[in-house]
Amino acid sequence: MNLQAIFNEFISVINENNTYQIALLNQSHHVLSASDQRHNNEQFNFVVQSDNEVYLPILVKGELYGYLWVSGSIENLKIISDLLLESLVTRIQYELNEQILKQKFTQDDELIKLLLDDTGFNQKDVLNLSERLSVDTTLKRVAILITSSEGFQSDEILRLKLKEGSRQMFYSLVDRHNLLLFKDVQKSVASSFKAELERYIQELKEWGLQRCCFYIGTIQDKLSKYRISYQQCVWLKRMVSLSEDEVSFFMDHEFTYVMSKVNLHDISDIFGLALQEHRIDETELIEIARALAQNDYNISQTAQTLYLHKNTLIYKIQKIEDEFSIDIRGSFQGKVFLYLLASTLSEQQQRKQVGEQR
Amino acid sequence: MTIQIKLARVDKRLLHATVALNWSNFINANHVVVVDPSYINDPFMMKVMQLCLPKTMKVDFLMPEELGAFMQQESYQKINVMIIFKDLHAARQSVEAGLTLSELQLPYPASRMMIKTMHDYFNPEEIDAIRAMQKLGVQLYFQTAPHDNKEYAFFKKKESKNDHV
Repeated sequence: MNLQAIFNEFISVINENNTYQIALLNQSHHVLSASDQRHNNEQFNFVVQSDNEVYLPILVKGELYGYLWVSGSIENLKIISDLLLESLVTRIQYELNEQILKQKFTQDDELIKLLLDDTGFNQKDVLNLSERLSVDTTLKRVAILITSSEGFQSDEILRLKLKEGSRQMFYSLVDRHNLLLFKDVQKSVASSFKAELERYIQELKEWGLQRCCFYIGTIQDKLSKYRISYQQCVWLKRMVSLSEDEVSFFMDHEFTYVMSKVNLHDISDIFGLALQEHRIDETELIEIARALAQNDYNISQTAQTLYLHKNTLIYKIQKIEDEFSIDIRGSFQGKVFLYLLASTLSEQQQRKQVGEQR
Repeated sequence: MTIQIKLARVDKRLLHATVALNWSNFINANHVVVVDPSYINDPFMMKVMQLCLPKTMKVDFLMPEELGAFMQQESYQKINVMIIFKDLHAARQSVEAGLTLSELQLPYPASRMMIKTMHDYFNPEEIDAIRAMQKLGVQLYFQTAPHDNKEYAFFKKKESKNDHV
């Protein structure tokens, strides 16, 4: 905090008025800054005072920051000097609070960098910093990645730390458009956790984080696993298209995520010949597979989704079953294989579109 | 973009107390409006008071009847406003002049334990102002600092026949 820079703002206002003079004195009564620059570096004598001047100690939370000297017309001197002192003290308090916030923000940033470090989890550094930040490491937390196409104002984000319910939350601006929070959660049962987080997101929107997209990972109880929750947010952001103010939970896409971990080359190897020689419309197969998954493999609902007659859908499914020797309607494995076949074909189509050769 | 009221507060110490308690940071306000008719004709005093906040925080001094129009203006930037009324009278005038306000904060009285009824703390004109604003849908509550609980119950007590005595 630069007290002299702050005081210069006061000097500008005083000089517009020309009725009063002010000066900022240090603890040994030397002038640091004055509206009349001729006073600079003078040492004032507090003992001998005239009626048209006052010396007021600048006390902020019990600490003496110097003295305010005000000189001018006796008529309103007390009112003006009291108002000046009050404004100065309040401003110093404000700037000190900002300083503390910035420090905490910087340390939060450091902690998150340690937690997300690709090269490895440094438990000692993480615990030391967590202790300095009074972060309760026993709490469960979840990663929330918030994106804004407009970009975040860092001054505004600084204040997020003060928001109600944010004492054990720490966060970092990954870049101008991405804000990462690790929020403590009370409930770990899925349905109540979701409700708790939805309420919190609503509070964030009311606080000021509007026109953003919110991606939420899974709850983690160990610091070393916070990175996993964040990576889930990043995966969600890549896979799920959200409009402004929408929220996406990783828990709603767990199946897709797990399936995405299957190596599709293995699927190509298993079904190699069938994939080359089948007589099925691939785009149609992909659509059917996706609609079945979306409708929990309910044939009637899937038929509605695809605007097909139920019997037509069953006929098409039978053809797929015959071509690939899988039992879609009767077995769990068949359903999974259909899903994976669709993913494989979809990927192949995408590769053809960008001109890759197998 | 519309202007959002993040906090509306009655505080006779105006900006100084509110800023000192760090309200502007807690509620993420980037604009402060002070409603105190006595300051409007004294630009110098207004400027001295504004010095308690950096220039990045916009501060306006308005008359009660100007507040409604201020809130209706469109802005290309997001404006989160904190409104500070000098007293209940200024708040009432603003609401009756068209300001849409859902809640109004009053700092806890110093002697809160001694206060059982409105008359223990508010004078008849203030009680009148409270009731008038409640009829227009404004909820009042006590809260001094951001971490204090909000107390609505005191203002929800049934209107007594003697409110105006």
